Amino acid sequence: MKNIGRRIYIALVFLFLYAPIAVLIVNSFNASKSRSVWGGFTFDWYRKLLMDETILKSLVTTLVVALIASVISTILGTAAAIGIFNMKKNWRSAILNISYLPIMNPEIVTGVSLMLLFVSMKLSFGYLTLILAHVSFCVPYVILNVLPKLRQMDKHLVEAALDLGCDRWQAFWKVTVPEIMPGIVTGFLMSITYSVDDFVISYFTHGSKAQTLSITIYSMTRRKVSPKVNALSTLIFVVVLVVLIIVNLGDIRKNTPKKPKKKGRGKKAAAMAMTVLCLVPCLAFGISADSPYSDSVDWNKFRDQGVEINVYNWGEYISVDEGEEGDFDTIAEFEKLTGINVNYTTFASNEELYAKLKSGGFTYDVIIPSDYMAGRLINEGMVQKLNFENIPNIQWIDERFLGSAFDVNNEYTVPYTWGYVGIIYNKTLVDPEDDVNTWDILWDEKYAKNILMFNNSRDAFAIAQFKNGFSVNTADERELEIAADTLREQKPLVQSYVMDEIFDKMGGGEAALAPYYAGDAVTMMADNPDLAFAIPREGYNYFIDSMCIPTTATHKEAAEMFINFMCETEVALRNIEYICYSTPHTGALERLDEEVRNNPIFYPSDEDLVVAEAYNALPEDATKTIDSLWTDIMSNTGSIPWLTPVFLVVCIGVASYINIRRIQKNKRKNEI
Amino acid sequence: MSNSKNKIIELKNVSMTFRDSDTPVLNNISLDIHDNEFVTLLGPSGCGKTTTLRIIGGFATPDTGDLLFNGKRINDVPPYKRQVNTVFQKYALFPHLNVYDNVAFGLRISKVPEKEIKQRVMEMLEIVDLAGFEKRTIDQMSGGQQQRIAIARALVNNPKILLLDEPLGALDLKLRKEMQIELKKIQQRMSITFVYVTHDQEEALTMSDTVVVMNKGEIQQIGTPQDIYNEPVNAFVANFIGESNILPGIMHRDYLVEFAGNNFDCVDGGFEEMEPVDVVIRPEDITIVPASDEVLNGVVETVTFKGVHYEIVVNAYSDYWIVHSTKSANVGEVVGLSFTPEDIHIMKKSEMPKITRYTVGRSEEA
Repeated sequence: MKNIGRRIYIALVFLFLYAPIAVLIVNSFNASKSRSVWGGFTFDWYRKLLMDETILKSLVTTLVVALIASVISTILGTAAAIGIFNMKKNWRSAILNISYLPIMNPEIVTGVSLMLLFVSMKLSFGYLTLILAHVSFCVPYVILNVLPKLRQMDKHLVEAALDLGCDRWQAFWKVTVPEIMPGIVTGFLMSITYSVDDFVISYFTHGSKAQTLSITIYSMTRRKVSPKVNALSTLIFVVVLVVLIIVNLGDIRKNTPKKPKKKGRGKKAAAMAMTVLCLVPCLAFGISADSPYSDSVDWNKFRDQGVEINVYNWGEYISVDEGEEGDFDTIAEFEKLTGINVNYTTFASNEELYAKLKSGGFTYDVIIPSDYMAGRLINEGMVQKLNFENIPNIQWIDERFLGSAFDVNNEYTVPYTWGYVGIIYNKTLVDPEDDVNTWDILWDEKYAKNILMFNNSRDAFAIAQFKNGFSVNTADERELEIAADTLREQKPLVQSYVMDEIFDKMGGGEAALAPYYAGDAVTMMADNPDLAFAIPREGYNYFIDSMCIPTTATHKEAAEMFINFMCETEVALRNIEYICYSTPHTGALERLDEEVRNNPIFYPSDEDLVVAEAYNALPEDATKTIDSLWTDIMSNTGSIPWLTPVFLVVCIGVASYINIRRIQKNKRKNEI
Repeated sequence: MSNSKNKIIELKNVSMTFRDSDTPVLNNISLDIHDNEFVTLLGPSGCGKTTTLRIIGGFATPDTGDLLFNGKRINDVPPYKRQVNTVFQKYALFPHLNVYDNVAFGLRISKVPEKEIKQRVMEMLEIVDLAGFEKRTIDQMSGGQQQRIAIARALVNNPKILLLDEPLGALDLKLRKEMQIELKKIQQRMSITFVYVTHDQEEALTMSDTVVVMNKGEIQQIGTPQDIYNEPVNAFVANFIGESNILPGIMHRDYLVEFAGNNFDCVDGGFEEMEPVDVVIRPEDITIVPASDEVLNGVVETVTFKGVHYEIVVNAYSDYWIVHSTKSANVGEVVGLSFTPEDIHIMKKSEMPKITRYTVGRSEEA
């Protein structure tokens, strides 16, 4: 009886630990993009993953950075450990504490301070900064692993070596190093693990030329994590599992008595697995058909001049070769056509893009912010006027999308994609009698706990503002208060505040109504035929993501050539087919699949478009007001103002107590 | 004695103080070590014996004084340039190398051809009785085997001097006795100088040609085991070398000493009249006889069986006497203690406090 209970308990623990991974692995074979609908078994995501150059490049970056940083850290850390070990006691503990700081420090602090340091040193962000940053947090792990080995080592071993004729150097290499080798190897492996694992510090120290895998994955989260990431995660999990099994088998064999040990078989196998992982990207060479481009500009102007441009785009926001016939690899095509080398990196939010630009350490030649961020960058002089002589393809852009509020005279931006927010709903859960073409339905008590709502302030406020007939760009305190009240009113009806889970919750029929982006709604409807999409007549927010050139760009004309290339009909068509939003490119629209072109969800009638409103940059005050109102709405029981100070005081108290105790203890020890 | 032979090592007025301490670990010691001699440095822990060994090995440098090797000063010669090898206390074998590679280590460092290395290593393993174990790893070997590897590793380099730092300390009693004989044999066969550090007086007496008794950084006595045992120069040596009854006495004149309330004839002379002295009587030299006026009388306090003999503690003249006897006695019984003038050793009053190995146990009983 007891045993059964115990087994069930263990089973539950394992279930808890491994259920997420199991779900991930299952989903990596799910043909449907939705996580809640099983669309049949497929290897597609794996194939697409192996063809996705952005992911593979960042995988290579990750591994290269991890390897180089770990080698450097291992050498530095081992030397440091030996130095610290031979220090006098007081010095030793002081230096030891200092060297542990990088891992005691919150990562975000380390990350930000490293970024500031690199900026002030005028280092350009990229491999160098990533490696330096990773070395800084890997060294302590090496010290941590080598030091105990030094302590364990019989100190007479070195003397024995000297006694047998070694000089100090020989004794070090022939005795000390082999003795502490297990610590060095563990330190090295831990460095690799932490380096591959790291997100926060890499986030602040990667550059326009190199980004690590974790950042690439993060940048895909704007809309919804691609199932490619499931496939990638599964592969990583399997590789780690295999390495672990091999290492453990090696250990078991080693510990079997009387058998001559096969040294380092596990390590060799691990190394081989790493090599295979490194080689995978090499399999992914792009094949693409020749496509005719207009001779609007001299594409060969920069050929063979070693020109390089840095492009910073949203994750999964450009057509890549996914291994299917006729796939279009935008970047490769551009490089082939012009001979310009492109460093392509990705971001997850406008704010991230802004922070990167503002820090000054990053140079980008082409960026693709959304409307309001483009407006802010223009206001702050962070992007420069374009020379449209170099971008004749601007002629293809629909005039309706030119001269928007954020760039009235259309001097700085070239629209890339657009889309808008409407209401996605489940036909089986919503009364057919009810009017869905209004935001009011999200306030209908009939659907209490069946409504999903955006989990970010600006988008949530926009809906309330439309419902009240205000502008989404209002800075009027009173109007903002009213919008906040409207949102408070809605709160009891809301099942949850979410962003990309809307995909799964609506796809799985868990909720009746939600606001969402039109392009994604179409994808969802393909998975779940019960879903439908409605355009609210009070108005709705539409976004335009536009290409701009930062003032700090190093190759403005090459950047303009890139923008012009993106406006080639063929390129615009391929990209919009990949991204599944709406295109402002008239030529591309014409050649789009008829079903898509005539789909009013993608391309609403002029009549519907009239009420659409784009975001503009808000004054700082208004942003602050919105944020504090939103925090207030979200905090359930009303905020407890004393909680934070009390918590801080308690923390400081506990820390002081521990320290005082320690000092007293040391004193007592010294007295004795 | 071996004094006729060449001096191979000379320590001249060597003093040394550790960095973080005020009291010197060695205080002006001088010592000659000769060719093919088995010298043992004997003393309690902290007496400076290991430091002396480390100075000879080159792991410690004296603050003052000279270290001569065949007459040449070698204070500043690093360990790897001395013709000296060491067997460390816990052997300090290299765990990452197997038996063969451990023994071959020194030869490889001095770039001896691999063929010769093989021959010499095998020969040496033969000598220490470990032939056939060369492929074993160190952790597969027992304590005694590791000990012999350590000896082989040192001896294979043909050192002029072998330093051994309490090499048998980690072995059990039986193995220790075997290894003592083994070591002595090896030393005689290879005819090299052994400098041996131990705190075990029995070990010292068994193996050595010369015993150097040290205490508190100073040499107390240098001599053959017999000298040291029979003619200890002071109470410390007497007490450290075997168990002793040490009593305060007064030398009335040559061959007459007063202690325990009586005057006794003895065989020692050369003291001033009425000089206070220490009187040593070995426990095995005392015989228990029936109480009478002829002898010193006392009450039996405790009787402990020690295997070969009984250890009997007798309270006589308000002092405790240890007696080793093959015959037992009854606790509480009044007995007489008998000894001859030859059994009485008179020593100069030692400046250091009496070593009180038995005081604790006795005061508990009292």
